[in-house]
Amino acid sequence: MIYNPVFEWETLRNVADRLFSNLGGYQTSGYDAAPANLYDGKDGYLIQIAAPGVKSEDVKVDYSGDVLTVSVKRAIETDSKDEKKLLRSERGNYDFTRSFSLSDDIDIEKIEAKVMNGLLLIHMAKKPESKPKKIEVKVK
Amino acid sequence: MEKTKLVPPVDVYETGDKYILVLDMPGADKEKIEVTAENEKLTVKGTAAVVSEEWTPLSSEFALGDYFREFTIGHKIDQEKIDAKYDNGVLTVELGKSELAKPRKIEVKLN
Repeated sequence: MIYNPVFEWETLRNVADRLFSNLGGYQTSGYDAAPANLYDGKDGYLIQIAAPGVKSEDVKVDYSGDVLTVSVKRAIETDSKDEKKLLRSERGNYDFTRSFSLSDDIDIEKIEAKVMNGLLLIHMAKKPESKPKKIEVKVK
Repeated sequence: MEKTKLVPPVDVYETGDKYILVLDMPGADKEKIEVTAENEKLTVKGTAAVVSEEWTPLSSEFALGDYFREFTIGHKIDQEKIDAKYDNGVLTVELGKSELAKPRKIEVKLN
């Protein structure tokens, strides 16, 4: 299951709450992956991965042979103790690796990744020659 | 277009003198997070900015926008003892228990 940081329909969540509220159980197995958004811009590409609670040292980004490999590990507190009882658990942990095939217009020297406000942002600059060019044609 | 309303997932913990809510709210603007306790309800609101329009989405697996979640807290919470902090996309709200909700030891007199 891909980790879903948000549910778009509260009513759906309420239905699920009712369905499972009597079971007294919760998911402890964690998730396989975090969701990613991909964007194309004038000067580059942007990958945005939802990673709340993920520390920057638990993120690894590698590039090799036109493939960008991203590893993200979330290790938040999930256990229930006598003095701090877990009553409800909807957040899970994950440790996954995802690969993205890159088009050949990326300048591999200019790939930057940062963890900000619970988002992992990977910015990849385009090679100058792949940017749309505007050529002025002289009319004689 | 109306912004998507997002319901952040929550973990709830209970200790001797408080309840702790931990919510995933990636990308939220710290200044715009609101935690309100009123009429036995606790409301959490936040806003995560979407990327600017110069970026064209190629594929999208999650949405950013307005976060909203409401909890019924009843009489169990002392509304004067609510603390919230936001760090790395995670909102932690600590709710102090009211005297009513704290574990009490009642001595039974035997005659």
